[in-house]
Amino acid sequence: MLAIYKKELKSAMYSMIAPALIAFILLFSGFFVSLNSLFNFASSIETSYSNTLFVLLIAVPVLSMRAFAGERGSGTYLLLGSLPIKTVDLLIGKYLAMITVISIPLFVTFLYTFILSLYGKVNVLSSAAATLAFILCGAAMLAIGLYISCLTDSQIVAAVISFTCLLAIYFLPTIVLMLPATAFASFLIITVLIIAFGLIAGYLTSNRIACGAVILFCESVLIAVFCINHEMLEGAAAKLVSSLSLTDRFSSFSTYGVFDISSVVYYLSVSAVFLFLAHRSLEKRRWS
Amino acid sequence: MIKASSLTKYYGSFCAVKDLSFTIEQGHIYGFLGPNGAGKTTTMNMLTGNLAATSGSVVIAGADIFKNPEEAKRHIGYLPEHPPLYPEFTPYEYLCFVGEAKGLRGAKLQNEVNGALKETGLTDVSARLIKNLSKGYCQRVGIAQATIGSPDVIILDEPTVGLDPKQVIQVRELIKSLSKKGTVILSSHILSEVEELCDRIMIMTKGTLVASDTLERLQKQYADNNILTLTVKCGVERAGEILSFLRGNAEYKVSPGQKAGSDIVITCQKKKDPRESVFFAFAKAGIPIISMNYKIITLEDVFLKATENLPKDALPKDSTPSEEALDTFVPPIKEKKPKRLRKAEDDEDDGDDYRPLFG
Repeated sequence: MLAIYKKELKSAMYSMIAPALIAFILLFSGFFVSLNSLFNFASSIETSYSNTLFVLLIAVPVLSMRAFAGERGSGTYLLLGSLPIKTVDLLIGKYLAMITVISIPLFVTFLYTFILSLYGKVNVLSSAAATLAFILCGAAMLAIGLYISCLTDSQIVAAVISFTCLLAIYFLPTIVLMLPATAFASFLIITVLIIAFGLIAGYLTSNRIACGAVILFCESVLIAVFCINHEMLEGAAAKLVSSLSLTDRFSSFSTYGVFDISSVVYYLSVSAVFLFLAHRSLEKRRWS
Repeated sequence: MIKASSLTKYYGSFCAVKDLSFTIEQGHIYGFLGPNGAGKTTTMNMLTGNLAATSGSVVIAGADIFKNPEEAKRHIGYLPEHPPLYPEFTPYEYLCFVGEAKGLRGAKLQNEVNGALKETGLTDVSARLIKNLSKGYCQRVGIAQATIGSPDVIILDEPTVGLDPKQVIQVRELIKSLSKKGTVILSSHILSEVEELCDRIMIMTKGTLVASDTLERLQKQYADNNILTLTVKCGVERAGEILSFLRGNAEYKVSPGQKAGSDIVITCQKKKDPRESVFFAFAKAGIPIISMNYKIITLEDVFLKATENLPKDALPKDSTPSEEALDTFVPPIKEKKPKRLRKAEDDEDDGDDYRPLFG
């Protein structure tokens, strides 16, 4: 794993992708920190993190597209496949290298806290917590990107699909908030989400029966709730989407300065699920 | 060293490799031949653990590549068709990565990397970026990568494709030097290369192994007729008289030579060699033989015959190579057999391929 980690990090640094991304993230984080803290007198850097979070939408696809789609495209995956390394080690090595790349500029941004502390009282711990949450949010997105990179042979396709998925994750809570919040509207939105989730699960597992069963089960629970107490569903869609959203969960760190354990667990869970899916996908390719 | 048994691979409903069995012995260079789409690369990918078989097994140095891949992969070095290089690395960094991934550390890693660089003649360019190297050098980096960690078997997929003639010679020399340390499996379309380098030949077509043996034995197996052409210093009629003793045993054609004398073409069944008797016949008549050429079937002929129409004696029963085909694949080690058996075998298969039948 260490060999893969070192190689990935070196490769990203030598090929100028990592330096360009680090500069890109630093540019925007520096811009927002100076805007918020120097001009608008915000006392902590985490308030500017909510503005900076969008950089992940670009940084993550660019980093993760190379992971497997790039290796397959250039034929180097055959080398990795013939080396005595476990698939898990390969995956984790690459994943940790990508997290390292996005952590570097965020760590530098965190150091701005100490510059701010020269001019007043700054809560270093909450800044540190927000920086950690930023990295974890990025890690969860990277796991999604890594999984998508496992599915295709083309770097461009991987980048476009990852970008679309992350964009949807970023904007879905805002879109759902704009929709009516009545119980029936929520019912319809959640139904659409259940069907979409079921179809994706069915496509990935190639198991129509399981996919149908999941959709039917979730839908019948939803119908039962709607029939028994439809008031419960008022505004439920927005709440559900917001709690599932990676970016909405970040606001408790950035806006309120709270270390939200449930969000940390959520980020780690999303990472674990997508790494597991990526592992399955790599193994499946070998057998198909 | 490597034992593949009943290896089968389906891509959906398409059968790429069907019931393939073979054994690779230590210390030989194996040539892996076959037309495009014969399943060579699929087989190589299965041998190296990149692809799982639909059924069957591959055991490398006692470890099953599908059940215990990490252990099995320790014994192989693989160079795919396109050298798997990272252009942003230098050869030194690249080889260090491969060495570390193969579990080498510290001084041992340094020794292996420096050894591989020296062996492949890359020491001078070891600090240059791979993207700035010529194709020949890139191929050498690929080969160096396969040799890191001194694996028992090195698998090379078309290693000389796209190289200029000088580089081809260098890479061939390199492969020859590798075979002194261990086993090499070489896939190639270039028959002359296989003929020059390999001492065992495997021919695949349509996912099955149709021939696997030493070149000499394959030549014997696939030869229909032996053809002897000679030029003698006498007239056509006189030559015909002298050759008349061949009647019934071989066909011969005598024609006037280009400058003087006569050209003769003698065709006889395989296993029959008329050279000696013809020589003595002309010597007795006091007629000099200017030239004599005994045509042995080339690898090209063997390849075409093996891949076009499958000869009955090459394939036992159900047109898949089984135990019988495997047996012929083992190098001809002189085993101690009962005297009677040994004699029968000697009569059947003379190592020299030269047996006077007439005279």
